[in-house]
This record gives sequence, C-alpha cells and structure tokens, in this order.
Amino acid sequence: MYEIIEKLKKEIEGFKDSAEMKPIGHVIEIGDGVLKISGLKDARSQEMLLVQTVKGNITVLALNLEEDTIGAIALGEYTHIKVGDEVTLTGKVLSVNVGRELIGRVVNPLGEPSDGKGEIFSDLTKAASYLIEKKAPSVLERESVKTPLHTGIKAIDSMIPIGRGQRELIIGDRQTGKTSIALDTIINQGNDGSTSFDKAQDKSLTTSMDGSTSSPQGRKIPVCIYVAIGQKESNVAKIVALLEEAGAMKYSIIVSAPASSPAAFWYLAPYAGCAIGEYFMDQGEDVLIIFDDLTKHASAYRQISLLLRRPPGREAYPGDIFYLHSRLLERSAKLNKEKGGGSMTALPIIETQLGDVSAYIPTNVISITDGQIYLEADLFYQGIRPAVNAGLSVSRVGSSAQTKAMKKVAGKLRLELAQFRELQAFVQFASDLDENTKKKIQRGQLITEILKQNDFAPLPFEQQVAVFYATLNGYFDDLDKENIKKIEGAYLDYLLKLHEKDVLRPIRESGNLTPTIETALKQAIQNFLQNK
Amino acid sequence: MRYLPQLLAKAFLAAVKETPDNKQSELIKNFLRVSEKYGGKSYLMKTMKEIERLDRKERGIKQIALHTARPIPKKLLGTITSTFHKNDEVEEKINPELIAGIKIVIDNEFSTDNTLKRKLEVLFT
Repeated sequence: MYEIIEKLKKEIEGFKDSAEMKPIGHVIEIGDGVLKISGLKDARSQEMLLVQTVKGNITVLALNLEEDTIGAIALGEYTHIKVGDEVTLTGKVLSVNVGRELIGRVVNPLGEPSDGKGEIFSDLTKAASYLIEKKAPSVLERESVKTPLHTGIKAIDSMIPIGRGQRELIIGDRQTGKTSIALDTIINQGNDGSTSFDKAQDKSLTTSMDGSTSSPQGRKIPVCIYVAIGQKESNVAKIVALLEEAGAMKYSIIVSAPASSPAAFWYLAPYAGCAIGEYFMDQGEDVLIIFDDLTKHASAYRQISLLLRRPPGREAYPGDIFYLHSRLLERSAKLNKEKGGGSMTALPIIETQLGDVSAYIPTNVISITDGQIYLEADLFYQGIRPAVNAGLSVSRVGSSAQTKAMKKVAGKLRLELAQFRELQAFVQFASDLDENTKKKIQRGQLITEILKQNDFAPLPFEQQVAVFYATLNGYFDDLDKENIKKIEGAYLDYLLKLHEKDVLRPIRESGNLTPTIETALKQAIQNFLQNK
Repeated sequence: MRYLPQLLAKAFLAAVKETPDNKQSELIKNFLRVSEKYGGKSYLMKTMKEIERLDRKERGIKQIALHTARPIPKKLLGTITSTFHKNDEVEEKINPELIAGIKIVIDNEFSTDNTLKRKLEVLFT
C-alpha cells in the first residue's frame, strides 16, 4: 500500500496541467454509430474527436466536413452517446501503433488486442505510430516486381505466378475455396526457400538479430497479415487455430473486424492492416496482406455513406467507391533499394454472386489489381479443387517474377490445358477419335488430376517443378489416372528420400533447371518408374 | 429532405433583413408553418435557440455559461462577471459531478475547463 501511495504522489508531483481555451462542439444527431456534430470548425478530415459522455470519453472519427456540421463515425460504444454531449478536438489523425510485437497477435482495427493475451506493447513509447490513411508510394519510390511469392498451390504457381509487391485478386462465389487459397499461401511462406539456402540443419523457424523470421531454408519469411472483415468470430478463431497448428502464427498478424463490430470497424480494418504492413515494408521486409473480403468492406462503406447522407450512386454505393479500394491497393508496392527494398503483396478477396464478375465491385477491383485468380463453383462441385479457372485467371506482372525452373517446365501447361478444354466435349466419344486427339485428352485429364490439391497442404516450389516435369514430359502418360495422386505422393517421397541433394536442393537454391539438374531429374524419374 | 435548424435559422435571419416591416408578420407566420411541417414543436424550439444564438453573435453579445459543482458565492460571481463585457449574458450552471473548480463555456463554441473532474481524468488516463 505504501508503494502505491508513493507512486501516486510521484505522479501528482509531475502532473502539469493548464486550462486552455479550446473549441468545442456538440452532438446534434446520433444513429447507428454515425454522428452529426455542430461547431469545431477547425476539425481536420480523418481527425479523431472526443465525445464526453456520462460513461467516459468515446473517440469518433471525422469523415464529413460540412459548412456547419461534421459527420463522424463512432469508434467506441456509440449507445452511450447522447444528443448534446460535448465534443473536443484531439489534433490527431487516426493512426495505429505498430511494431514487431504485433506478430502472432490478433488485433482490432485500432490496433488493440482482441486475443486475450494482454497488452501488445510493454512500452508504448517504443511503438511507432502509423497513419491509417496514407499516400501510396510514388513512381520513383517503386521498382518492378521480380521476386516470386510462392503460394504452394500448383495451379497458381505454374499458371498464375505471383510476385512480391503484386496485387492479385482472388475472386469467386461463396464456398469455392477463396480463403483456403489465401491461408495456404500464408502457410507456405514458412516452407518456402527458393532463393537462398541455409546450411543449418535446424528445421524450425529461426529468429535473427533484427527480429525477422527465417524459413528452414534461411530465406526471410514475409510478415503475413490476414485482415478479416465482417467474419464470424468463430471463423476467425478457426483460422487462428489453423495457422497456429501450421506454425504460421510465428510470422502472422490477424486484424479482425468481426461481424458483431460496427460498420466503422469493417471500413477501417483493411487500412489498419495496410498501415501495419507498411511498417514492415519500410523496414525493408516483405509483407503479404490478405483482405478477406472487400465485398463486405464496400457494403460497410455504403452503409456509412448512406447514414452520412452522401449521395448514392450505382447500387446505392457512394461516388468514391472506386477510390476506396484503389487508394488501399495502391499502397501495396515493391520499394526500390533506396527505400529499403521492402515489398507488400496484396491478395484481396471478392465474393461474386452466381459467378457474375461483371458486377460493380468485382469489375472495380479487377481493374485495380494486377490480375485475378478466378474460382468457379462448377469446377469446385466437379471435384477440381482448387477450383481455379485457368482461362479467366491471369497474372499481369507475375511472369517476370516466376522462377526460371517453373517457367521452363510449366510454360506449355496453360496451352495443353486450353487444348484439352476444347476437346473435352468429345471425351464421351473417345473410342471414335484419332490417336493424336485421344492422347491430348488423356494428357489433359492427367494434368487436371495433377493440379488437384488438398486444402492446407501447400507444396514447396521445387517439388512442384519435379511433378510438372514428369507430367508434361510424358513420364506419367501410361500410368493409371485413377491412382495418379498416390503415384505423385510416392514420387515425391522417393525424390525427398533419395534425390534431395542432387535434384530438389539445387532447384531450390538456383531457382533454375540447369542441364545437369535436368539429367539428374530424368534419371531419378526413370529409376522411380522402374522400381514402382 | 429535412433541413437542420441551423440552416433554417440562417435563412430566417436573412429573410428578416430583406423583408419590409409591413410584411414581417406574414414572414413569421410562413416561418412557423414551415417549421411545423418539418418537425413540430421540438424542431421549432431548436430553430428558435439557433436564431437567438445567431442574433446574439451578430450584435456582439456573448453567452457565457459558468459550470461549477456548487453555487458560486455572490462576491466571487461578481468578480468573474466583471471580467466580461457588460452586454454579455452570464449564466450559472450547477453540476456536482465536476467536484470542484470551474468550467467556462462561451457561445457553446469555446470552453476552458479548470475542474477537478477533468484534472483527475487527465491524471488517470
């Protein structure tokens, strides 16, 4: 007790306070978390304001600066706010505390912990503060995307490669595996070691002096940020458990604005995630950010805008709905060396209705991003999972980031798949077809089987190369297609046990399929097929 | 669309200036009719308050509210009041939650808060 009294005395001794004349405003309207405030003519856009309620101060965010009033959204329990409550300025624009301590945590869009693990920053003075709304890096601060970011999904890494700093949209109907692709990508970052190889035998993730995490291969793992917008808390809990089980929470952060939170939180969540990502990008690190999903984000913004009485446009969305997403996704970039060389890769998710990609929000986001992975419900129900539609999916910048080895083996994959799709209609009459067409159909069926992959089982890039090499060079043509998944598993096991040093590791280290490696791989495949 | 009382008050004052004296009563009748159409008595009261505020502002009169936890002794109140302009309207408001000290609000737009309640809040947050 004595200690507490002494501490209190110290605090009071050091307490300096002077009453100053401050501008004040008053709440004149409140409804659904949206307020109208009179006065406060000096308020800035995006400034945090304090509403003094009976139950303490509540922060609100100024969004509309009108001639006589301010339109604001409440960031706390708005039911405590009453008409007539006094409002004061804070002089601070909305920002979030960032630091390495955020890794492994679940936070809300204000950066406050929501995982029950206690305070994030032991010393708040050491945490950096990043603005939630920030201008995207300029042209001069960027460089072209050229380093791959492997998802561990065969269909994506081979045909729709993603580069670090790219924005690749994941689009599809509900329940088509959009979130699974995003989570697979996060999990795969822990296994990915495509550029450098660590001779250390320790297979667990290591933490270096600067605090960044490295994969077993010694490569710096991107910090992964998963932004959950309007999702059920049970869903978020499942995702956290899954990432923890896969060891991915060691390099991941989850920003969650659950379904029960107000629309203001849904609206802010992606920007907060982006601000956290920018902190790591500015440190020269790579970041992977997933926005799950921007359809709900657009709806939340529509709700706020309508309550703020902004004029509605198409589908009742406000006029600046495009800018809402373009200013968010433009913040993902690959910075040049002068700026530290960091990158932020964004994987926004959009949910379509009955496969309609020409709806308002999907077309907006398609035009903003550098490509899209289109997931089709029909393919999903046919058992082709991931249900990637290779024809409608594209990566506009990723090919320059694709590893040489993958480019070499999977170059003709898309073409063969497209030829198969054209001939697919004749599959039923296979007996009446000429040999060449029959072969093409069989190859197409084989590729389709090979591209199938289970959820949360990402495949390292070098193993993908080995599988595609064998498939596309006809080594698997005569094998039973029904058992191809088993054969693939056995083949990879064989390579891992007997050819890790002369095939897999060299591909991983060099990222290339040199003639020496190719010869070793050919020999390994022949040996496997002989001993099968 | 329902206009805010602030906008209606502004419009009314502008109309008063432009309307000749013999048509002022007609103007008031029309104004009351419009106000009633928009939101009834409570809306009208808000608009009236706003008209008073704008009128005071135009005439350079300030409305000063002194918020204290207990009634201010007469002598002290006199001293405080004398610091303001003689035309200013000084009003005393009692709010025991303030604990001690004084908070002065001018025209509902500026305030200086020197109460113990605020100091404790600053100290413990």
